[in-house]
Amino acid sequence: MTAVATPVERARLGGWIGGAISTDHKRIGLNLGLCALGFFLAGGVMALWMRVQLAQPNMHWVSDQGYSELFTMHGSTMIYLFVTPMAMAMAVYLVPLQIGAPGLAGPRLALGGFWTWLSGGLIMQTGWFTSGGAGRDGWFAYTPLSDGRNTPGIGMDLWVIGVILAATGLILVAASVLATIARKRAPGMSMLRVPVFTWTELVSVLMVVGAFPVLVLAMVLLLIDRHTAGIFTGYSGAIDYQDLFWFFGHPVVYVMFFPFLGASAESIATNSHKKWFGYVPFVGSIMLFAALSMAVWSHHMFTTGGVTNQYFAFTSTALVIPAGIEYFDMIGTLIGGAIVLRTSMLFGLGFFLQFLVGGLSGIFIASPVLDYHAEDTYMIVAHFHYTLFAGSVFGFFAGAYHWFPKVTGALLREWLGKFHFVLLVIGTNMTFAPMFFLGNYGMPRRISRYPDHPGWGTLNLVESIGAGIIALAVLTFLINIVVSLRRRELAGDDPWVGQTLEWATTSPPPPQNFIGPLPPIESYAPLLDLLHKEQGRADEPEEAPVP
Amino acid sequence: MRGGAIPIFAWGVLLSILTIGNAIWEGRWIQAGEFALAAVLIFSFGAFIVGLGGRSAIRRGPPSPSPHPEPLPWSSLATVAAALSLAMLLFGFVFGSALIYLGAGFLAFSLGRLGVELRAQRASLKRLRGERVR
Repeated sequence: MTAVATPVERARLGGWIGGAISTDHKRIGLNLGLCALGFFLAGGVMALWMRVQLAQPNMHWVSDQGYSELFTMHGSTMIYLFVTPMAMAMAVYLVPLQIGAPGLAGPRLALGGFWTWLSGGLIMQTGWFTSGGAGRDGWFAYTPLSDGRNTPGIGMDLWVIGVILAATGLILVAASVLATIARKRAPGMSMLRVPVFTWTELVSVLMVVGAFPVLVLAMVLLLIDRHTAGIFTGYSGAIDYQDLFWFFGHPVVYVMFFPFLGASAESIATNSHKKWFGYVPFVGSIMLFAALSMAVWSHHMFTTGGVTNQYFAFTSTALVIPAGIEYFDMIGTLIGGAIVLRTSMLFGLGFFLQFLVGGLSGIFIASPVLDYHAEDTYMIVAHFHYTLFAGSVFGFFAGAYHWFPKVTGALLREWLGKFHFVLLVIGTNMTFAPMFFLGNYGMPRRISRYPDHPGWGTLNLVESIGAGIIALAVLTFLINIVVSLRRRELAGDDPWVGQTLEWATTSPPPPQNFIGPLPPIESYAPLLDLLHKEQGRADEPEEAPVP
Repeated sequence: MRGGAIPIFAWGVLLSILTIGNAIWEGRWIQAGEFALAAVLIFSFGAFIVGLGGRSAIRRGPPSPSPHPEPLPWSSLATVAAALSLAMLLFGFVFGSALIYLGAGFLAFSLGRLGVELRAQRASLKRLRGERVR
C-alpha cells in the first residue's frame, strides 16, 4: 500500500508542540507511555505513604480520611492511569510495526484518545488540591458510599469526571488499534501470521471496546446520582451499580494482563531463539480467556447475596483452562531452546512465575465458600497485587527491556537491569506474600490503623520494608534509562536476533516505519524464517543461532 | 483487508454464547443488558470493518497488496483541541457553567476544523488517484 502525506504535513511542526499534536503512532505511543510512567511514579509515592502509615500498629502518620484518599487514588492512578494506558501505549507504538503497517488506522482517534485520557488523569488528580480532598471511595466508588450525601465535595466529582474522560480516551485509542489490526496488515500477514504480542493486544482492545463503555455509563449515572439522587437507590440500586462497575472492573484486569503476557512471550521466544510454541492453541486460548473474563465479574459480589454464585464460580474456575495452555506454551518454548538469560528474559520468566501465585490464589477465592472467609481481608489485596504488580508490572519491564533499543536506538545496561530484577523480586515478595498470612489472620483491608495483635506489626513492617525495596528497584530502572540515554551503547537495528517485523527496520523507526520492501511473511516469526532460509536450514524451523 | 473482521465476529459469537448462558442462569436484566451491549458493540465494529473492506474482511487468507494509496496524516491540532474542549466542558460541571459553554463552543469549532482537515485529506487522496477534485 502507498502511504500518502496529507496537506497538514506541509505545516509540520517540530519540538514540543509538534510532538503534542503529532498523529505519528510512535509519538502518540511514546507520549502515552511516558505520561503513564509519570502516573506510575505518583501512584507509587501514594503506596509508600500508605505503607509508612501501616508499618506499625496504631500509627498516626495520616488521618482516616487521608488514608481513604490515598488508597482510592493509588488504585485509581495505577488502574486508570498507569497499567491500562501503558498496555495501550505499547499497542499504539508496536502493533503497526509488528504487522508491517506505515501507521495507525484512524490516527486522530488515538491522538484524541490520548489527550482525553490525559485530561481525565489530571482532572482526577486535581482533587488533591480541593478543600474536601481527593476521591475517597475506592477505585470502584460503590454507592451509596459515593453518593452526594455520604461523600460530599468536589473532589469526588472530579474523580468521577476524571474516570469518564480517561475511560473515553482509552476506548478511542483501543478502537484505533483494533481497526489497525483489522485493516492495515502487510501483504501476506493473515490473521494466523500475526505476532503473539499483537494477538494479545487484539484481545485486549476487544475487551476495552466491549467493556469500557459500561464504565462510562456507570460513571455518568453516578455523577447524575450525586447531584440529583434517585438512580442507585436502596439495596437493588447498590447491586445494580456493582453489576455495572464490575462488568468493566473484571475485564480490565485482563486488559492489564494480556499485553504483558504478549510482551513476556515475545521476550521468552526471542531469548530462547525459537518460535513461540503452540501458536494456534495460544491464539484460541486467549480468545476464550478474554471472552470468559467478561463473564466472571460477579465473583466480586459473592458476599452481597445479589447474584447467583454458582454461575460466576463456574466461569471463574473455567479460566484455569486457557491459563494452563499459556503456561504449557511457555514451557514448550523453553524446552530445547538456546536460552540467553538477558534482563528481558528474566522479567518474562518472572512474569509467569509471579503471576502464578496470583492465578493460583484466584482459583482459591473463585470458590464462594472460601471467598466468604477471605472477602475484604488482606488475602484479596495479596491476590490482586500478585496478578497486577507481580504479573503485569514484571511483564511491562520485560517489554521495556526488550523494545527499549528499538524505541531509542540505545541498549539499556544489562547489569543495572539484572540488579533491578533482583531488587524487584525481593521487594515484591516481601511486600505481598505476608498479606496472605495477614488476610488469613483476619486483618481487614482499607483500614488506616490496626490493633497490636500478635504478629501483625512484624508482618506489616516486613511489607513496608518490601515497599521501600520496590521503590529502590524502580529508581534503578530510571537510573538505567538516564545512564543508557546519556552514554549510548548503540543497539543497531536488531540486537536480539528478533523474530517479528519491528526488528526489520531502523532503531528508532523512520516516520513511515519501513524503508524498502518488507521481508516475506510466511509465519508469525518472519525474520526467523528469513534467517533460516539464509542459512539454508529451512527444514529445521525451530532454532536460531545465539549471537 | 482480508480476514480483518473474523476475530471480531468470532469474539462477538463467544460473547453472545456467554450472554445467553448468563441470561438463563442468572436471570438479571441488568447483567443480560450489559452483555448484550458489549456484544452489539463488538458486532457493530465488525460490521464497520466489513463495510470498509467488503466481503474480503470475512474471508480467510493473507491480504494482498492494496492498489489504493492510504492517508498518513502527520498532525492534527483540531483533534487535540476537540479532546481538550471535551475535558473543559466536563470540568465545567464542577467549576462553573461558564466552562461548559466555553467548552461546548470550542468543541463545536474543533469539530468543524476537524471536518476541514478530513476534507483536505480526501482531496489529497483524490488528486493522487487522478480524480477530479471539487
